[in-house]
Amino acid sequence: MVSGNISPRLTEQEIADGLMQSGITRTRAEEQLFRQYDYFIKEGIRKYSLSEDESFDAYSDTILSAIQKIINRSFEGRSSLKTWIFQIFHNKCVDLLRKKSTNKNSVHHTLEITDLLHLLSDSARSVVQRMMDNSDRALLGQRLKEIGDQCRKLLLFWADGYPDKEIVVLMEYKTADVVKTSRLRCMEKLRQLYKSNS
Amino acid sequence: MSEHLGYIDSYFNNELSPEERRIFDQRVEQDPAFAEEVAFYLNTLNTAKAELAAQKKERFREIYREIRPVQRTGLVRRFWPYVAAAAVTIALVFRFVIFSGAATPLNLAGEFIQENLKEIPPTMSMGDSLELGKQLYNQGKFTESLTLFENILNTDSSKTLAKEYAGIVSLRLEQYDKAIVFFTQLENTRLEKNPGKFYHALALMKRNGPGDIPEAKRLLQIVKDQGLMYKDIAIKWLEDWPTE
Repeated sequence: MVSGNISPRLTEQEIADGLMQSGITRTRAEEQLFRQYDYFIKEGIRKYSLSEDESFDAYSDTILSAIQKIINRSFEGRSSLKTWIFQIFHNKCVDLLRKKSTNKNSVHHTLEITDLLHLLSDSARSVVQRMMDNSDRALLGQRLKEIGDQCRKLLLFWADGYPDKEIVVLMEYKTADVVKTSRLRCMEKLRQLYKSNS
Repeated sequence: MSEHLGYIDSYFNNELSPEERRIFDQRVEQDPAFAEEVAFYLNTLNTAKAELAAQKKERFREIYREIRPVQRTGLVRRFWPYVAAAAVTIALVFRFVIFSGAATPLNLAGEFIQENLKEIPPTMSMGDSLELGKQLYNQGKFTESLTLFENILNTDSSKTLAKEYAGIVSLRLEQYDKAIVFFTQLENTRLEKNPGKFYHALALMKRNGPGDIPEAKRLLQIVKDQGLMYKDIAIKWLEDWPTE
C-alpha cells in the first residue's frame, strides 16, 4: 500500500497512500484531498441552503475528519472514497442545519474527543472526563502558543499522529527516545505554564 | 519533570501489560492528583489537535480562495460556457500541435516541477531558518532561499530537509549541476522514504546533457524496483519513455 508518490491527478488509492506518508507528501495529499471534492461546497449551498461560509466549514471539517479516519485506518474501503466523504459531509450539513433551527450556540467540534479516553476503564474514564470538562481549555490553548517554537512544533506533530521515529526525521532529532523525552519535557513545561497562570 | 507523564504516555501507547493497565485505572479512581495529570495529558492532546485543525482549515481556506468560482452576471454569464469551451478546444489543439507524439523526458520533468514543486508547504513552526527559507521560495525569491538553505548546511551538513529544499531551489534556478550534488547527498542519506533518487533523475531530465537521459532512466528503474518515494510516477514515466 505504501508508495510515497504524489501526482497531479490522484486516484483515491494514491491519496490514501499519500496520507500515510509524512512531511511534504502528506501535506500535499491533504491538500489534494481537499481539492478533489471541493465541488461539495457548492452542493452544500444548493442542496442544504447553507451560506458559502457554512458550507466551506462543513466541507473543511469533513476533510479533516476523513484524514484522521484514513490515517487511523478506520476507512475500510467498503464504499468509494467519494461516497464515504460525501456521507460525512451530508451528516455535517444536517447537523449544522439542526443547530441553526434549534438556535443552539454550541461550539462546532471539528474533531471528535480523543479516542484515547476510551482506553480507560468506565469508572476511570468518568473521573478523567469530569476533570477535563472542568479545565480551562482556552487558557491551555493560549499557553500552547506561548510555549516556544520547538516544543509547539513537537507537540503538534505528536497530535497529528506522527510516531516518534518519524518525528526524528521531520525535526532532525537523534533518536526516537530523544523525541519522546523531549515531548514529555515540553508537556511538563506546558503544564507549569498553565498552572502558574490558572 | 513529572515522573507520571512518561507512565501516562506508556499507558496510552499500549505499552503496559493488562495487569499494569488495571493498576493504572485503579490509581486514576483513587488518586485525584494522578487523575488530574491524566486529564492534563489528554487535554494537551485535544488542544494540540484543535490548533492543528485550525491551521489546516486556514490552509484549506487559502486554497479555496484560489479556486472558488467567481460569480458572473448578465451577458458574461450567458456567454461564459461558450468562451470556456472555446478556450479548452484551443488549449487542446495547441497541446496536440506542440507536443504531438510521445511525451519527452524534458516535458515530463517540466510538468512535474510545475505542478508539484511550485511551493513548499509550511509546517507548524514559524520563524526558524528552514521555514524562512520555504517562505522565500514560495514568494519566488529563489536565490535568497537557496542562500539560506546553504547556510543551514554549512552549519550542519546532516540536515536532510535543507538538502532536499536546496536541491529543489537549485532545480528551479536551473542550476542542475548543483541540484544533482544536493540530491546525490540526499539519496545517500538513510531515510525511511527517500525522494533523492527520483529528484536526481528529475534534474538529469531537465539538464538533458549527453548521457543524462539514459542515466535518468536507470535511476527511475531503481526507484521502481526498490519501491522508493515517487515509485508510481517513475512507473508511469518509464511506460511513456521514448524508445532510443
